[in-house]
Amino acid sequence: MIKKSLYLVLVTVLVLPVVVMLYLSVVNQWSFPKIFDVSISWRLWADFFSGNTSMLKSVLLSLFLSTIIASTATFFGFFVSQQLSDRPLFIKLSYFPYLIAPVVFGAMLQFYFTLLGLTGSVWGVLLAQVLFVFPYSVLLFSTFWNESVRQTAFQSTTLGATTWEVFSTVLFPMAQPWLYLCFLQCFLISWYEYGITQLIGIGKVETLPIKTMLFIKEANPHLAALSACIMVFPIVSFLIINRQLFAKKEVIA
Amino acid sequence: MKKRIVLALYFVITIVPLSMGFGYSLLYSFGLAGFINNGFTMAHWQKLLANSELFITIGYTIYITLVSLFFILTFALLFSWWLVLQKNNFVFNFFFLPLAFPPLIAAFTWYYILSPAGIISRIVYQFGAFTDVNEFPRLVNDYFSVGIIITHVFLIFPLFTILFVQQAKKEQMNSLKETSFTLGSTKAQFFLKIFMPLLLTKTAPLVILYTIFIFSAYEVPLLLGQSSPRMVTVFINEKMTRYNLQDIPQGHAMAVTYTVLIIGITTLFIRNIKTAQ
Repeated sequence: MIKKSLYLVLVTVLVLPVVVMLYLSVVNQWSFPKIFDVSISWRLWADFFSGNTSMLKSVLLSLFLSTIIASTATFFGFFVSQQLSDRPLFIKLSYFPYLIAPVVFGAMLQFYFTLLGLTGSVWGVLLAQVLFVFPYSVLLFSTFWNESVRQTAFQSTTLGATTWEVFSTVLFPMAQPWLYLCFLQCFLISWYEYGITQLIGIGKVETLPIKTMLFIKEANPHLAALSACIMVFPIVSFLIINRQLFAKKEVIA
Repeated sequence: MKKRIVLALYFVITIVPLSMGFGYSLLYSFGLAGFINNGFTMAHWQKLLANSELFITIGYTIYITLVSLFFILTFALLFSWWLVLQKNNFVFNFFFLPLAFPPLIAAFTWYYILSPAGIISRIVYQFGAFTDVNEFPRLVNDYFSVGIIITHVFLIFPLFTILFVQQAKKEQMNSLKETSFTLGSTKAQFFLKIFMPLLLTKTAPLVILYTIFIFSAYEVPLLLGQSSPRMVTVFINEKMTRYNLQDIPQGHAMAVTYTVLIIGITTLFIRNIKTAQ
């Protein structure tokens, strides 16, 4: 009995935020002390899907930024970590930009971004995010380039494979789980990034997290919840399908 | 040659921006950069030290970090112990859910669970425990930062639980348990002397990494914290972006302090993983 109620409490704590998010996005008002409001309406969702709101623009902007950042970071991270694989100390330098809070990093760099005329622009935000997503990618790939991988590549070259063949038939297939995971992680870091986007974008680059915070500050929990749902649900469903990825992620970490 | 170019580009992207940012903040904090400054001065640092803001902010941030970490590790150890013994895969699945939550959204939803007009307060109200909404204890934007700590625990303890369960499998914890029990140890002894130390030492690098992440948290304290004291990231950002120009140098001084601290911990961390390898 105690065990069952403990299970129940635990599952409730883990699931409650999802329920709250969804619930707030489908009620018009939620006055105290009612726990449930009867006036459920999918109006906000319908508006979103009809494309009449600015939210769709934010989704597209976020998608654009995150895809570019994740692809660039994954691509360059892979090659750079290969070049540095015999210098582990250099690779570890990536921990510094990766571990500094992006919001403090952004605050310290804002002067230079203003100097270059990059504040308030999508390209500025893109560059700012790359500055800490790319080091993450290098760190992640550094776990791939172990002795056996390097030996395999070396042997292929000795046996007469060209550089392109080594990459296309040996290294890329071997690195596939890493490439996939790195893209996903970099995408997520960028997709959920708030601090540095706010600082460098000065509110003009309205990605989904910026939009969500705007609604929260305006005390509009219903739109904030809708925005949160749009941000989190695709990721949650994707991760449920690919749950195995997490196991790998931890092993790599 | 190619390697040199890669190396140079790597430094340009990783170390140069950080050094430039840090350098600018350092100069600003001593009055050597920025348009409101005119020449070297210690005044900004003195101001930051005089009203103890520096120590209060850092101390408060350490408090949040350590308390969150304590609960995260305690829950993760207890639940992983439980999951290893019970093999309950149904419940285990739910632990993956918070991993998809960004801090911003977690803070937002927990606000609506914990605030005086939130879900818990409404449920308690239905039982007639209080008649006025103001009687409900403050769990968000509160003195002890309960809301911030709960949100951090929600965000991170599931990850450590999953990690501990996987590590326990790797260490063949069940056969270790059988052996200990055969040799006459009790459950509590096994938990305290084998299960806990083994998992914590094996995952130590990740524990340090998450200590840094909690120390650097921004969105959660921004939404659920009080206006004073503030966590270090919120403090820096407020000083630097508010309208009072006189506050900006103090923001930079705090950014310098924070960066030095993080660089120090990161250096220790890098050494630690080197010895672990």
